[in-house]
Amino acid sequence: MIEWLSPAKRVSAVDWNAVYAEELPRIYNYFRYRVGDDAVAEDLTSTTFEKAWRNRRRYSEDLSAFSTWLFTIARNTAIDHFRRHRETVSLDAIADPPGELGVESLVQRRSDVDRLTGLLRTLSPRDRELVAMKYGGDLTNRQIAALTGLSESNVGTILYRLVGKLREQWEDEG
Amino acid sequence: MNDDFLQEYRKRPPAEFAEALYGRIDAQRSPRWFRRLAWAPVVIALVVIGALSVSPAARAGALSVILTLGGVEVEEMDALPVAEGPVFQAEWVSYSFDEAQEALPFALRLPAYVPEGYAPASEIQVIHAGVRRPITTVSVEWHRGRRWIRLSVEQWSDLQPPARLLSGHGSAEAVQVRGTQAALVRGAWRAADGTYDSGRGLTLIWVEDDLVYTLHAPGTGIPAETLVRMAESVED
Repeated sequence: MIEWLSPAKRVSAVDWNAVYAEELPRIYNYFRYRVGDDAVAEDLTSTTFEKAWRNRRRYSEDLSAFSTWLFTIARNTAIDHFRRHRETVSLDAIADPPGELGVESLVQRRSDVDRLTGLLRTLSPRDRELVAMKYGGDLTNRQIAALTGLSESNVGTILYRLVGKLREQWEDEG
Repeated sequence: MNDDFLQEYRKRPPAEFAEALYGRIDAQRSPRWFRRLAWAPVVIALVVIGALSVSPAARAGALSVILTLGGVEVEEMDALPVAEGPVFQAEWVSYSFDEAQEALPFALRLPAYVPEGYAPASEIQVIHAGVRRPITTVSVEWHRGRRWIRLSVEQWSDLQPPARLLSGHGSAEAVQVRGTQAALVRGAWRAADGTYDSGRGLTLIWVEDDLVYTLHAPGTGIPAETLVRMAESVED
């Protein structure tokens, strides 16, 4: 049976100016929390928006899920980035292994941003992504669940524990 | 739980970066050749656009042509672009007519004239969506056996442009509906391969009172004049 799509089926109802203004800070900060480097975050943000623009005609009807669609592209962009830079990541890990960032090295950091960057690096890739989605991307637990395949309650539980652990470290090193 | 310290890591994207990225995306909004035409002498533009409007071969050879018909933009192209991302389906809520009137932020006005043999569906479908801003769409159908006509009315907040269609080359023409210019589009996309069949159904779309009206009649054999008559009969 042939399926037909009416011309109106692919109406582009997205106000790109509004989307850009509203979503750019979220995507940009998602990548900052993910990679901890402003310049890389800018590159990945650019890639995400340019992909979204090129694929805009695929996005037509469920406008309420636009953020989810955009973050799907962002996640895939991050995965590509880490795949391409696997060797670099490995070297970083050797130099500053996750979970072993000591008190002294943290104290030496000059600003809260630097301290938080260090704390985020101690997280596993999955945990760091959850934090990036929640605090960088400003996503709800439900949106995070939809993107990651975790249950909403599971997302909430993991984030609760992560925040508790990070806050403890934050206060210890403060 | 106090998570303020995690919020402190957020910052605004640098203005230079935001502006540069916006510029790159904005530059892709129209095909390059089309933007160049916009700056060409008027005479040349008229010759080219004239050729596109009278020659199916010339139109088929172009990447895409954007036509503005009333409040509607129709982008005509060879094939429906294929993208890599996921396709989301809208979730409709079904209402009776009275319930729909309650649920809608605007008055639902229906055509007084419907082609003979077409009966209204018992339910009206409504979707509330939007990227931070509300977009409401209501859909009413009339059925005759397996054939159907659908009227969609959308309130798109302050989104611009108000309506945009993608269709095949040479499929769109301007018609007058209720004292305004409307776009009459012949045909439909074949989902399997993204090619366009200009003989497959009719779509009539116009903008009135900040609402986008779309009458869609796929495979009904209804002539354009009948669809226009139906549109003209929408209650004031």
